[in-house]
Amino acid sequence: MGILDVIDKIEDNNINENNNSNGLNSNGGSRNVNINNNDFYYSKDMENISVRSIRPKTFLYTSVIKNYLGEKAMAILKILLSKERVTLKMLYSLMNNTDVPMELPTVKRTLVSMIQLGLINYYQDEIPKNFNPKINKKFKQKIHYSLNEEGLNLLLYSGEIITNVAMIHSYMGESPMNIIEEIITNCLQFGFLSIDQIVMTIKNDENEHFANEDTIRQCIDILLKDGWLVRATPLDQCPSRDLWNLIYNREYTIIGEKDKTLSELKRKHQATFKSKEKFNKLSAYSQGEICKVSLDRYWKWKRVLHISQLCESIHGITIGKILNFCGDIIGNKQPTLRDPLKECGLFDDPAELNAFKEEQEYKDENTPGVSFDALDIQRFIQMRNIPIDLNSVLVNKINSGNTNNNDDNKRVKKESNLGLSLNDIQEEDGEEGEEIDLDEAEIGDDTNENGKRSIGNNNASIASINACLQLLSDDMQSIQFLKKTSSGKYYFPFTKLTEALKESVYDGLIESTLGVSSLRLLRCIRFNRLITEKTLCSLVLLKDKDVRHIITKLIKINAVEIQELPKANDRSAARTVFLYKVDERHQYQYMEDNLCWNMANLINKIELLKEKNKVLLNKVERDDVAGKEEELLLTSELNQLKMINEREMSSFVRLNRLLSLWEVFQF
Amino acid sequence: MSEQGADALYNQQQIVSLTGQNMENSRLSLQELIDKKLLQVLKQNNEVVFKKVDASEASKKLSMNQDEQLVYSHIEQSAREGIWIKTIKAKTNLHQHIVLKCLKNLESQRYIKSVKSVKFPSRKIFMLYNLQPSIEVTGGPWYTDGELDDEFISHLLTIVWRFAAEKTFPDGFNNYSQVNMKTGENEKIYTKNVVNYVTKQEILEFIKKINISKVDLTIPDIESLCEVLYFDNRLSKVGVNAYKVTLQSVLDLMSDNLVDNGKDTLGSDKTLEFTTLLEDSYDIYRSKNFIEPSLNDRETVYFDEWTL
Repeated sequence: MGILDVIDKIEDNNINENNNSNGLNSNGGSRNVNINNNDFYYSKDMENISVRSIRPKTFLYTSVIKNYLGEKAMAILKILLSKERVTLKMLYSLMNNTDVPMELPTVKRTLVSMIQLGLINYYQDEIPKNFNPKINKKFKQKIHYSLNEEGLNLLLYSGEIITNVAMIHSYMGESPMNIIEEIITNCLQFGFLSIDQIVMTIKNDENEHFANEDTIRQCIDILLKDGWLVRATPLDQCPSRDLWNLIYNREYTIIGEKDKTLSELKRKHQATFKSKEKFNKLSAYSQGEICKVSLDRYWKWKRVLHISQLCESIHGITIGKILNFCGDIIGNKQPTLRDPLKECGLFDDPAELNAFKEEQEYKDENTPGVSFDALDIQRFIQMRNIPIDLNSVLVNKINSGNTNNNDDNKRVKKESNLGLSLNDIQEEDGEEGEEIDLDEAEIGDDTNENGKRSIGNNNASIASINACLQLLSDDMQSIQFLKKTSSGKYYFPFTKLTEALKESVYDGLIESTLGVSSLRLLRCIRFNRLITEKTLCSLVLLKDKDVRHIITKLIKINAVEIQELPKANDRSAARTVFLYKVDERHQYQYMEDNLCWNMANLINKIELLKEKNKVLLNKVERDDVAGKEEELLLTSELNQLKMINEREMSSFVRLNRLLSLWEVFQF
Repeated sequence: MSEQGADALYNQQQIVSLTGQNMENSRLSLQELIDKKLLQVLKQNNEVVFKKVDASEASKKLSMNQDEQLVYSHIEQSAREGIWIKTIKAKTNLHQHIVLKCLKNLESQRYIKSVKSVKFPSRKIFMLYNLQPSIEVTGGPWYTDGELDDEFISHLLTIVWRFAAEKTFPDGFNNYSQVNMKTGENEKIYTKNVVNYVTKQEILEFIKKINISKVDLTIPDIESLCEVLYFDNRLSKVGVNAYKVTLQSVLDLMSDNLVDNGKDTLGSDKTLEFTTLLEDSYDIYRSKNFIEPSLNDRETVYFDEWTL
């Protein structure tokens, strides 16, 4: 059954009535299929370290695949990474140029395993409507293979996903937690599994905890309900770009047939608009028996975790935890991170991209289930028996003991010569004062000996949770973590938060690697947008010499760029003013590549370490040695083994940390 | 003319009407006064106007030769900004030797002085002896003898930060000394309705009160200090005019003695393991002990590996 048939079937059954089908309102845009024909990346030069740094993602993915699936899969992956979309015939012919030439059946077998693991997607050419086999005998339905980054990332995250998903469900008890761990492990191991197959694989396990089929099915239901597992459809095997092209071309033809007088521009607009609607419906379609692990859900969870960590670094540990609970409450209902539309080449048009961003912001607020209030949080805390004490954390009056100024206790400042800005603060205070007064009336007065007033009677009373939410949604703060809806509930402004998150992680990396002065310069340039060296020096209060030295370092890593402003017609350098500016896209791309390269290098180093100590490791793995290492190995060998284990462990910790930094730039 | 003040300007018509003399006579008298350097001829709105000159100033000018007078007049015009020696040469059209000689004479008689400009440290700039150089020339309070005073600035930055920290958290910058960084035990923070920020005015008053700066600081100076702290991510802005310290800066200050006693209050309860995910996961804001990367590494274009 071709993709078109599947699409028709979905449309005919009208299954997606309840699915999120908000079409994007803006029209226009052109498709730009960009196929990278650089043969460089799969050449033997890949062993050269400088070649690896040309495209770190290639280096990373090849290292991962080599580590998990071996050299044959890696050879295929290299070709797919550089060619993006190949037929079997082309793949086979290209394989002969690599280090690992393979026979056609081997290539096919490897391809099948990779498809099963979700690493490769394929697209089969549709038969043209007016195709007549008698006239056009040469037409062949080709199958095009392309890489599925989601599958590769799932491999990269596999260990983390298994541990974390199990821990997230720890509130269900130990036995369901173990079952969930097993379910996720099996799904990651086999790629796609039907529900019955999952049950079978777990029941066959020797562990007696897993014997009860009902519990297993319940666990699967919970995972499916919360989006950790998603039901796969044949469309999942089709690359987003191909699916888009298919839908777009179809719409384009239909519109042309309906109205032949329509101008080309209008026809394209209409086709894009309708295609977007259909594409969103189809990509949200999820039904059937076959399940797979959802990377999107995991990244949603990680996004909330990162935002909570950022919040911790601004508002403190307790408030960070409250924000994390908010994320747990909305769970899978938050807007998706991996919108397939991003991969269609549609956003080469900046207007489309802007419209998409606006749409995302709208979704942040208006997707059903994304808003919550203090009551929801209290219910969550009570249901999960989380010991959190907000009473002792929140202080509602200024602690006069640590300030010299006796007037500090006043809510509204007396200074009147500070102009508009302070007035703004006063107004804000006035409003909030009223709100808090309401809370005070509700909870009564319970001033303690120190003159500090705790907010509520319970450990997490509605009033104290509300105080936390107010702090989080305060628009006077540097980052507004929550926003209020018109109905008085709160929601995460994910689109803006993601930007803030990227910025803060980037700043953190710059500060910790290049020092505080670099951060000062970078933030100053970002704040002032375009700035000359002289102004920069006067603003950051650093010596000209130091500024120039730091700027050189920042320019080297793409953190700062130079803008030329010619004053003379001949653009003579002597009369030209050079300004500094920041381009976030370039900054993040470079940092992403950098982190990517470091991850790949770590994986590579672990491999090298194992390769170096192959003899010893083989000896340890022998049946007669295993378990009796201390008796049968020499002291030097034991020390060596200990060193290998320690290095491997530390490399994995580093890898995990780098991964948690890298993923921020993927959001 | 003296009665109207030193800066008053008069055109010829006004002088005629004030003195009651006819045009011819007043012209002669004016010429005489100009010759004695008691009057200065200026141009305003395409009209010749006259300005009174002090007797002492006039006698000073009379003691100079013509070249010196020319050089002196240009230096006088530059006022508190001062004038570069090359500009004098270009404006007077005199030979360098003559200009240098004039400047030497004027300097020895203490009519002019040379000052160091912060903007152009290599230029020799002259201004009248009795004038104070402008802020553009001296660089403001952050410069001592034309050099950026690092120590003074960092001292002030610390004071501003500490003052803000005292207000931002209930226990000032020691707020997190007793806090368990995993569980958040003993943590105390202000709610939104507490005014826990400082304004520039308050900072200025505090600095004046503790009398730390010999130089008179102004609100813009405090603003530039606060901006630097903001760029360092040590202060955050509240609205437009007020500042708070960032929690990050408080934690950075005491990163060595943070309480992390490993007391795992939830350790025994397996069903609460999900709460430890946030506590235990890696966080760039908490761990900043990287090793300086070797940027000069020729092998790669990227940072060297980060020892995280």
